[in-house]
Amino acid sequence: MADHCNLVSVLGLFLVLTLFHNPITVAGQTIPAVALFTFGDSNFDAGNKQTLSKSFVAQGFWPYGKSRDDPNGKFCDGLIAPDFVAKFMGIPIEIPAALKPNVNVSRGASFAVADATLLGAPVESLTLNQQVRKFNQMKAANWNDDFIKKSVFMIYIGANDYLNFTKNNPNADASAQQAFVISVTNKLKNDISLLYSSGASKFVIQNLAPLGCLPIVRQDYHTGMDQCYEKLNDLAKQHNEKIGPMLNELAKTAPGFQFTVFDFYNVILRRTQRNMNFRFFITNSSCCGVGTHTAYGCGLPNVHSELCEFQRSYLFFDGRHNTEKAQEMFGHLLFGADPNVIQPMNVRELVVYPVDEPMRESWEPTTSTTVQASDSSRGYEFY
Amino acid sequence: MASLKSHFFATLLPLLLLLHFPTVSFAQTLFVFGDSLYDAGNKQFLSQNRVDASFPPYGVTVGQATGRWSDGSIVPDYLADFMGIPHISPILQTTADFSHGANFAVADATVLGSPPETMTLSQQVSKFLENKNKWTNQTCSEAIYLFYIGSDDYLNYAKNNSSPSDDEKQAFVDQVITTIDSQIKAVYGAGGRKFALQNLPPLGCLPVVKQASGDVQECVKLPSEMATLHNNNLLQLMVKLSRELNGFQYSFYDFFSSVQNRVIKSKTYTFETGIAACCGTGSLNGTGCSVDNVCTKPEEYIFFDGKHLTQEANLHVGHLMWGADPEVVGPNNLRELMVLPLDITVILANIQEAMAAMRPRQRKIESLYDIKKMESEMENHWLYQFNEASSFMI
Repeated sequence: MADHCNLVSVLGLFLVLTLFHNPITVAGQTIPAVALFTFGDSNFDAGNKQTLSKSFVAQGFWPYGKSRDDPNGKFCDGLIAPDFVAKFMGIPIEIPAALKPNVNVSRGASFAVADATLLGAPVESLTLNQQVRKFNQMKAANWNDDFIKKSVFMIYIGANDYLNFTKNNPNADASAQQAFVISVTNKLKNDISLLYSSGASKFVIQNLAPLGCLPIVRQDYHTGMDQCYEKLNDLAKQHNEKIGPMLNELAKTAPGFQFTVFDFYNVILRRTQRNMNFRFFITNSSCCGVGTHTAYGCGLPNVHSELCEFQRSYLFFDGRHNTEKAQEMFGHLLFGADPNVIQPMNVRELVVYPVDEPMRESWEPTTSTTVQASDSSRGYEFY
Repeated sequence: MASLKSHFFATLLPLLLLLHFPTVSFAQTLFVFGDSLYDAGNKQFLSQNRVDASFPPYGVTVGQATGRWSDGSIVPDYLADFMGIPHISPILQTTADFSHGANFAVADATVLGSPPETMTLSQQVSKFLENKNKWTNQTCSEAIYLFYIGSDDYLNYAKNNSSPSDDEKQAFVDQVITTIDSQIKAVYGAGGRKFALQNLPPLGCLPVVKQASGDVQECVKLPSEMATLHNNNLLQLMVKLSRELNGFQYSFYDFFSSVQNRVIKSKTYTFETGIAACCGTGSLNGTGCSVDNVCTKPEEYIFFDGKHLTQEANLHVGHLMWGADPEVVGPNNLRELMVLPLDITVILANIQEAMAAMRPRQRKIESLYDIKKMESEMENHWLYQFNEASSFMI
């Protein structure tokens, strides 16, 4: 009995002590050896912008990559969420930038590019539509159809559309906003359909962050230290509301279409509202940059940026991109969280869901009853 | 009976998790040991001759030559900044304020031998022990002990041994490591628990070394090989000590990779060059730094003179040691080491080792009364510790 107690207490102690430097162990049902493909904007860009841009790309230089002493074009101080999801999926390499020469794309690639949008023609970047076409171009040489069907496709796009819209239309009224949201989400639907007809069947759509709470937005719109710029949060919410129903419809009409929606909006919002529960000291400002919220110009050669000494205390590394510490949390949430965070299933469940099977659950809007039901859960995203 | 047992077990489990009361700490004291990379002005007290670092252009970026071998601040200065304490003064400057620690590093210091006008590692540790009464026992156990030494040992070895065999190289490294082992144990014996070590850079890439070899393109092999061998053995020493010594905590910073990254991909790290030094003469400005041959923008260089880093490079190192991930500085960075509760021996990666470490601290539960007493003790203690230690959870 005494020995048994000690084993358990040692296990407990061991668990507590290894919280920081977690040996990542993925146990349980075997995860098939498939790929992870990412599309979208700078949140998922693994270095494509450096290839597309003729000018200086700050993310290829110190202090980006500070946590690992490896500036490699990612908009972070280290690994981004797709890298952690890939690790949990058993993929032994970081998901590379598809546009870089001589990269190993056998387990997936990132087609995301900084400044990407859904609408329009972003400079030195690719719209989601162009990214999907790029994927199609590379398909024949790299991946067979069966492999693609079983692989996971993550998309995060739209932020730049709304940021630009708000900058260019500061006084847009409700109906103009609505109209814009409709055109953006319609385009998203079309592009997802295009990707589906290219062979993809497993989609992880990350909804938009509360754009008004990004440090660069707070700084540019002078909201002060406690407030977010609510106009942009509204736009993000309007956009997000349309995502779930749109995907439900696609799942009904497109055979074998499987999806899940990661509620990134509330993941970020919780961390700005109850930052200490998530062990972030500072969530309204960036670790690197200049300005009231230290949000502008991290890494730019003509900007003398401040650089925080402990980026693990911050939610945002630069004006709009999360630190590696936050990215690791997102990776965990994407892979294994409850439906109140990612629904109707998490990436772990999505990747083992049989291909060609119709989905048996659908995305549901969060009403007070569903909130009550999920609040009884353990809230383990606090770790 | 069965339900009592299971109830007993259910309450015992979480309590036993807390069985080992961690002692909260928050290091505000820094002791520095090493050579010219860390020397903050001790050399001038030990040398009859002119000490270059006490004169311009050393200190040019901060407008004052302080005896530091750089154009400005050195790594211990930045670590002190991040810890929130004043820069640590050289111990030989007897009028200085040592309330937050002392710097024992001296230029030309080695691990082995007895070079003139300097203090070897052993002499530095002796100096620390002589002065130990300046600080309380509590301070000494919470303090961080920072070490960077060995480069001069290996640079001299490479100069005097042109093609040693692998066995000879290993034998020399063993000598160095053995001495470091005993000196760390001496500090541990005096109460030290938190050890931060910076490993050696690719010594063959130092401008002074490349310039002397005549080949400015390639880094010289032997010094870098010795450094690599030393670094591997030094890390093994840390792991060994963490098993042998109760409560031993360490942070091992891979300086070698940081320098290598910056030499190979200078521009990625915001430097214009990683080959030539900012100040000096010769093909790589590797020797003879003086006011007549100092560059206009030291921040564009990794090396200030033939052997030492610029303030800008030191700042990178400070950031990395303080807050980078375990593959750069492990198993804890200095920020974590600073707040790691005392009595936690080491973050063990092996369950068998965790169990073995726990065994000596078993406590036998004699009766329910013991449990209740333990329960209330623990709850009070834990709540207090938890509030104090909330920053530790970062």
